[in-house]
Amino acid sequence: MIIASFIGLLYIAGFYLLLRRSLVRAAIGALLLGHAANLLIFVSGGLSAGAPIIREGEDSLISPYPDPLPQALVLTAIVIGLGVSAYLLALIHRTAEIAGGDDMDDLKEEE
Amino acid sequence: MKFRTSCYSLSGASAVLCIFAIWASMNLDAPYYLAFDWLPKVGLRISFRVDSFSLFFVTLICGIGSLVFFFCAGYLPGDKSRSRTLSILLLFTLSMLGLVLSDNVLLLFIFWEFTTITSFFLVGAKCEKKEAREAALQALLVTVAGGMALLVAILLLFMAAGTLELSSLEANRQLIQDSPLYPVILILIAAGAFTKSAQFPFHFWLPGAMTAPSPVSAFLHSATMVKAGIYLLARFHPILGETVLWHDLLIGIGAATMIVGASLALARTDIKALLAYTTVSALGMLTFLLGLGTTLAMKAALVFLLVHACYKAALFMVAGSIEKLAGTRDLDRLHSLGKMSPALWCAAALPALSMCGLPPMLGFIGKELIYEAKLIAPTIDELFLLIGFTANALTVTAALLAAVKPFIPRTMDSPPKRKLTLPLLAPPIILGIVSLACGLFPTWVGDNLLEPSFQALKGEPSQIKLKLWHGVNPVFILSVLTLVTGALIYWIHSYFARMVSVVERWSSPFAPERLYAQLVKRFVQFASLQTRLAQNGSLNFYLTVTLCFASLLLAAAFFSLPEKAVDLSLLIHLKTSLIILGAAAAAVLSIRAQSMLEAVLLLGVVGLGVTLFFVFYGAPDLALTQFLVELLLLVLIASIWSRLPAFRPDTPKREKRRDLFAACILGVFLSYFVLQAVFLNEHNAISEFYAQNAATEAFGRNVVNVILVDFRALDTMGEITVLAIAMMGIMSLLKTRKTKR
Repeated sequence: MIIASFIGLLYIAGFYLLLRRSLVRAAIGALLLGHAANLLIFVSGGLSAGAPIIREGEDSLISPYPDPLPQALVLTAIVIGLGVSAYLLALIHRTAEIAGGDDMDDLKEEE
Repeated sequence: MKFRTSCYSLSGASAVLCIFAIWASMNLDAPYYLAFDWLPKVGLRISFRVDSFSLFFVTLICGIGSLVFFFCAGYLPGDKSRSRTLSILLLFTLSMLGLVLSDNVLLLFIFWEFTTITSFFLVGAKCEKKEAREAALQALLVTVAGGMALLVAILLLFMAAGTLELSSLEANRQLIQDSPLYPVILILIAAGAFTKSAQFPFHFWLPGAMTAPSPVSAFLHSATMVKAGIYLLARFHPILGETVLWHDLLIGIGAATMIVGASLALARTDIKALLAYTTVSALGMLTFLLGLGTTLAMKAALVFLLVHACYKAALFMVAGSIEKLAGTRDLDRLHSLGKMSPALWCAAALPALSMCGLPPMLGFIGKELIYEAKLIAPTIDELFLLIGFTANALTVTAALLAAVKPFIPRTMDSPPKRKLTLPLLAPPIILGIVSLACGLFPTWVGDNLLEPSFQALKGEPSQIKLKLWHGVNPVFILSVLTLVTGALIYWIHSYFARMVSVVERWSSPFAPERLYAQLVKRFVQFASLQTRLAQNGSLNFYLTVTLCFASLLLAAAFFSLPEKAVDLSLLIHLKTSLIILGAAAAAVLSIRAQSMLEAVLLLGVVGLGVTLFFVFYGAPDLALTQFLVELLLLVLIASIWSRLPAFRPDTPKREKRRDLFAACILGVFLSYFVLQAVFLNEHNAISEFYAQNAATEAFGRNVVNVILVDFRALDTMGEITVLAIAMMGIMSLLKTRKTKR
């Protein structure tokens, strides 16, 4: 319950910030959305304690174990997220340098 | 000269094909089929059927085409876009041939649209002129609308009969006519044919299309393309014909077109516009005859098709030559051309005789047959006979106007003689001679060309012999009366023209071209309004729309999901709850963050919360990665810290509240989803596979790790590539100097 509300909250904050006119705020919103999406995928695998690591002397995971598949997906997503946010930041930086501001509606006027 | 050579060679090739088609028509016993699969799944086969009716059209297309190409050699030089015009003309000829030869209706439709598109380019050949562009667009829009109707009709036909081959559709005639879809199919097919063949109320595009060069008008807008609609109706007559609806629809529209076209023709002073309206009238006549559908009427339609193609193409070429000779096409200014070029007069007179229906031209035979068909038709009102008679008489007047008036001298002084080149003169003369020869030897034409095509169409012989002289009978008397009336109207044509113009002006608010213009204008207005609304350029707006739509989707799923007991006593430890609460608070605060530093710090707190979350729920790898990523991001932000734009006061309050509301709705739905998802997933088969095989197959104990670097190593490779590309992008963004704007 708390987890669900937390993810929902992350989504709300992320979307709200994404809708702001300031590019920097939008970028932070995108980062929050990334967290929210990662968590959504992660919890959809079910929650359990322990790690998906096979113990010494065993051939396979012993039930109950956390689902390894969403974890692998999320890991990929985190790394890609880093790439994207870094690129986004660089882009904002460059935009600000050229246009002298980060307000989207102003940018629209300038084309 | 190169251009002329290509004209001549194209002309020669068409002529050979024309002669071959006549020969084949004489010797063809049964239809010849040729088919191979194209897209079998949608029933699209490239299937052709060569029967005598197709061959009749091939003869027309190639015969007229040959002369038109020849005419191009004289008319087009000096035109900048001549090569383009010629090549599109060739393309058009090919698509027209495909149209009349295809057996699959979808294939026919494709060729149909090809003729529409090539026609668009040909009408707009003088694209530097505004009216040419507008006329081309008008022709395109009207005929494409009809094409759409045709496509729908074809699909319905497929639903009704389960086949798309014309030959098997004919066999399923009863099935189609009994189907409840039949009236819709018929009306849609008729709409396609009527737009193409310029029937009332779609007739207005044809006179507009007269901005095209004369060879194009001679070819497309008199002899071939506009006949495609007639071809379609004739082809579908065995499938859809001989019902009350068919009868009423075609006869009504045909008669209206006939009389409207013929009357409007007389009010025109541009020769080509005048000829265009008489073409409209002739096409109405053909539709009318197809609507009658009796043996005699069908035969008369075939004869008239040939007659009309010969004289109308010739007259359009003459109009082109007149333009070359005198520099204008205005009937009020043209006179004494007979003295300037007697040969041209000869070229104009022969087809005009055929158009009037004077013996011994083929036109005479055609007209006699038409009258005969009308007189003995069982179910025809006297009104239609009168309309037909008036239209014919007006056509006679139009022929006189086009081919006599410009040539008779008005003043005594004789203008200097001028010689026209051979390609400008020969084609109309040849066509005139063909009309004459066909009129003199009607039996040969009837037996070898028309009768086989009639048989191919109807499946039975017509038993009607073409004869020049029938003796004095009611039909002959009607013919003579028509001629006399036509000549009388010519005498008073200026009054008549004025009358027509008055009526036209009075009815102009209801004229179809006005409606068309209104429709196009409204459509453009609607499109720009829609664009302004949907594409206003604000990212905020786009995102809000996307968000709302996503909420809608979620809501739909929300109410359709089976209600599931949600276990609230999820394994929640005190410490995790605390961490989550902390991160949540950070997220909420980040919304209201007033400075960059604050926002970044809060972001870090959220990231840390997520990391700890991973730690507690059995994902050490994720926790490690997340932590590293957070660090890296911090480093990155710090490195460009000074160069990032400062936080500025944000948007107005109302906007903020609206956005927050939209975001909240989506967030609440998503929370509910998460709640469902947590209980949804037991370990699925794929996870099971990895859990079982990680150690035995890949010799790794950390299953997540094994998945990434072994089972799905290629994906990871892709991931690395993405990172590399992002890095290059960042480098190039940061390295480039500030450019001056």
